[in-house]
Amino acid sequence: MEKTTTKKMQDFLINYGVIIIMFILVIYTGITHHNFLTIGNFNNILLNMSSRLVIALGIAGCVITAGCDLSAGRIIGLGGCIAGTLLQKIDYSGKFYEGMPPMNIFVALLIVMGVCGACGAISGFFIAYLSVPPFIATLAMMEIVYGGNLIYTNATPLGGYVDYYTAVSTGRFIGINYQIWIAVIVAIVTWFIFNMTRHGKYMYAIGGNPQAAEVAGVPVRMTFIIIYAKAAAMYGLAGFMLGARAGGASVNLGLGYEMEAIAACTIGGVSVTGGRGKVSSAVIGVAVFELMKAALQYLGVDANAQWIAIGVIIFIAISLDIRKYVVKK
Amino acid sequence: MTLNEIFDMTWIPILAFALSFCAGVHMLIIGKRPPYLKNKDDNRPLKNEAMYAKTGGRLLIYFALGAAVMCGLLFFNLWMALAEIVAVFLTFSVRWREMEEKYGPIG
Repeated sequence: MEKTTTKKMQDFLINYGVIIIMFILVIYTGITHHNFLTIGNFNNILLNMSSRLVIALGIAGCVITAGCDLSAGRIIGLGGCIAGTLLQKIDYSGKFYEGMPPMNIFVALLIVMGVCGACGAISGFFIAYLSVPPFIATLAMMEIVYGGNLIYTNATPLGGYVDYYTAVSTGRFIGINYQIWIAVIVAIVTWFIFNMTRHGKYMYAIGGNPQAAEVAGVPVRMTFIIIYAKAAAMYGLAGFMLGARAGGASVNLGLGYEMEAIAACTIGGVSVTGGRGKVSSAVIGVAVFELMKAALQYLGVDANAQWIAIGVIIFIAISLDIRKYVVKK
Repeated sequence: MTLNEIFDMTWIPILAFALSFCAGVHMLIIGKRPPYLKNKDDNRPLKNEAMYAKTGGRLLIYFALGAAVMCGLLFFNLWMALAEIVAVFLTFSVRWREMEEKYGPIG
């Protein structure tokens, strides 16, 4: 049945309503506050976006297969803490590994991504081979990683980082902050994986219909493990970036970031019902989310009330996404 | 220890307890597989839906109780808390797999 223009307009407004409202908010804030739409503020927003984009790109893979990853926030914390323990100044009074010289930054990053990736692979194994629903498997992994991180760090905050680690957050290349470059590179690599590799095709096939994908010869189980391992490695990278930015880390680093990342993906067009989503969806979603948070700050909205605003946005975005699926069905 | 500190330490196992306990009770009450525990297009019939719901509900409640125990153990020994939740999750997963094979979808 051919849709009328009115119906098409209606559908467009409902499907993209959240983005439209957020842009109106941003434009309103730009008009009423002269220092909102400035290069300095734009730079700040891009910097905030960079680690969140890395998380969103990781979680997008899980969401595309109609799964979720509740352990993202805890794995970010684990990544930040491991990086923190390996990159402290040798003369720091509260040094975690006394006497150990600070590690090479790339080796530390590899260790962080390796350990975090292993946590994701374990979640993927339980989902793929033991048929545990993703929300239970990642809920359990969230607890295990939290407990493991508490034991590893002895629940003490970390600090005293070497300059070359904090330079990841303050340094620039061709005038652009290193963290923004990292996010751009991760986005390009993720785009390549999603669109140019067999693994990417498998992901979309599983998200569309896992039974049909299995019958068609897709290695569903191994793909699930790779998806969750890859996602967790990216959370580890995000934890590394956040630790550099904050100059410190604790077990609570990354708290709640997974829900924001899922909401950002959904706002941008990654469907929680599976089978749909692009890298650009995650980029748009994260950009809109960060712009909204910055706008709310400039408008003087109470910091506690901002949590409510974020929660409402998450609620609306996911409801609209499920509505799209129900209407299509 | 203040209430804030207690909550800071235990909110994750409390969340896990709440989610899995609610899901478990829901399964026991409705007597069938809830939509959030299956793939969206998976309409395959189950071998025994009633037993699937009963066993699944009990397993989820078992996991919830494991999370609650972890909550308590966090105040005594972190290693014990970690070992406990790992053991609970492992047993839960193996029993879930067995349940899927015995009463799960046909085909």
